[in-house]
Amino acid sequence: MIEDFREQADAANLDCDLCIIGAGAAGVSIAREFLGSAISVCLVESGGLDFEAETQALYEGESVGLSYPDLDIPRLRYFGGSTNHWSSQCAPLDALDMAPRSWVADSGWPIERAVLEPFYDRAHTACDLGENLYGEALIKALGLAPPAIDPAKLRNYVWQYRTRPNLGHAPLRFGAFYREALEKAVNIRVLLHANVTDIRTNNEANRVEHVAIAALDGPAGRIRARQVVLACGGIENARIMLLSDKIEPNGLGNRHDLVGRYFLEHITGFGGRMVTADSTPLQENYNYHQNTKFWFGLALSEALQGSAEVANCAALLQYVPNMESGVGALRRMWADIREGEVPDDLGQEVLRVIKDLDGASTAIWQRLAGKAPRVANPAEILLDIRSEQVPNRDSRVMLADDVDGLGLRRTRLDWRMGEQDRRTMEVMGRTLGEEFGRLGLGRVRLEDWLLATDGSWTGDVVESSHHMGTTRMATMPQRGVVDEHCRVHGVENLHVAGSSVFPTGGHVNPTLTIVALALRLADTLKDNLARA
Amino acid sequence: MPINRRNILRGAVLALGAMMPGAAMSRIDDHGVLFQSPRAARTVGTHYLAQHPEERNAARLRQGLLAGAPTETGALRGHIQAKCRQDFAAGHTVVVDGWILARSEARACALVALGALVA
Repeated sequence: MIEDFREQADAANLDCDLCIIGAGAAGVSIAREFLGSAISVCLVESGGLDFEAETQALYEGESVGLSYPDLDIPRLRYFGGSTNHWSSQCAPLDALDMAPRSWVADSGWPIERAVLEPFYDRAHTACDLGENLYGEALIKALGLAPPAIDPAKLRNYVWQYRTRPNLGHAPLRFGAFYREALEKAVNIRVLLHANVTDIRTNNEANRVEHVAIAALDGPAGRIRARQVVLACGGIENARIMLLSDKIEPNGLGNRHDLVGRYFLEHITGFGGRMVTADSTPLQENYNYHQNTKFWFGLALSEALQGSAEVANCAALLQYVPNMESGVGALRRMWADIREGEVPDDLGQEVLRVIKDLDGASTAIWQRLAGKAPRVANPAEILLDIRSEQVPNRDSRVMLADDVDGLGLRRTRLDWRMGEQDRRTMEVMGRTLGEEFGRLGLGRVRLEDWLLATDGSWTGDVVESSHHMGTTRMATMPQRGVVDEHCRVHGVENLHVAGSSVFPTGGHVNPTLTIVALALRLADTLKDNLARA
Repeated sequence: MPINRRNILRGAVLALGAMMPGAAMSRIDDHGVLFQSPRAARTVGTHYLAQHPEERNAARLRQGLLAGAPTETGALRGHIQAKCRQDFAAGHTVVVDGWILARSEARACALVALGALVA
């Protein structure tokens, strides 16, 4: 059932087996695992079913480190969470991403990549993607014949998207998609407009006794649960733990000053441009396939990451249509139409299509045939580099001095990057240039920032709105906030779900791994609740 | 003429043969006519010589790049192409003004910058 906390007086003091805080990708995925079971679940969501400015404003905060978007922009605070604006670009982590790497400080997960494989299968279903198939096996299945890159340096890399025929990307909105199932569930109570204000433990701080909730200008209450999962995203998870300081003055689970630290992002930037006499061999491979279902790029090999002592990194080629081309005009008009807007400069755009009828009709045919339209004589080919960020203890989420609408201290973000992050992207750009040169595919010119060692480069890259690392996973409490089962060290019934538990984040979008870990945690919770 | 994508494409990259099948190649022979856009090649060459002042010696550069090259018209292009392929295969690349080039490619540009090859 789905209820509004503001209208449910009986919800002011609620008992359940499992309390999940946050109804985003992780929280909804865990809740679904208990559909139809004997376990009573309360799924607590700060927002309503749709965007509300007043609730969203609870995400506002301050940034004191590197330039970062306003903190209420990259995430969404309503049912479905940030899946309400994600792109659905998915890929699993590599084995090396989770292994200890001597050249990446504080790397290494306490679980091996193989542990996640069955959960990636299930995550694919949960995200309504296709088969859990990647890498060379997928390339073969797609019938592609990519250039013979040196496998000691680069790997072919494919991302998957959720798509719908002739519509292209159709990201799964977890809230809308799973709403009906949760609404019908008799054992699951979704409580909207319920903000967690405190996770209160016993005096020994080793067991959660209740979760305090409050509505904006509304009732307050408590939820008592046998097991509690915090699933509010990579920034908010840390914030709520730091705010829960009634028993532990430095915040819940923060005896080793790790909560909020090691904030990670994925760093992206256009690292270079490519010139070629014929882009066909590139566009036939390094492009979208099956009507944007798959996006084919390149990534650093594990061997090169080790020998160059850099992190993981990938690159996509972006073919920039010539402004005057019919394909470019069609793309711009289609983008406007999808947004429900009349295309700007409609007459000129139609004229461009007529002048380039050949190119435009070829693009339409390719689209109908399930291929991504190729760009004839692209104005530019850009190297879109997407890099892992190495863990940095001083990159962190803290509490600000001013407070939000609930009287809770806001977030203060201090995002930092380091020279190894730049070097990772430089190695990616250089290697692409060397390999494309060797294969006769063209020449690459690196952007100045990629070669700048004075720190100025940080202004030329952007974040990806992927918030990771702030409650990192480690076997020992001195090294991590949660253990290998995502349980907060020292607190027997508190778990954390989401990318905040990632000790390192690879270069891939985090949602697929968030869901895989959430499903794994759900299995753990089932065992815990069955045993208790 | 500024160094930009188009000029590099025409000059240093395409004219040196640079393994781009189907490209509109500029004239290249052993009479010193090498580039459609010599200014772009000269810019790359100037950057290369600034990075490697010890190579500012046209005779030595020419000897290193063109030794053993066939003399018939058109064959010099193939000779330089082959040297570029060998360089890339061996990892003998340089970054010049951001461009990732075969060392032979960059040295040919340096020869243009030194006036030892004239468009």
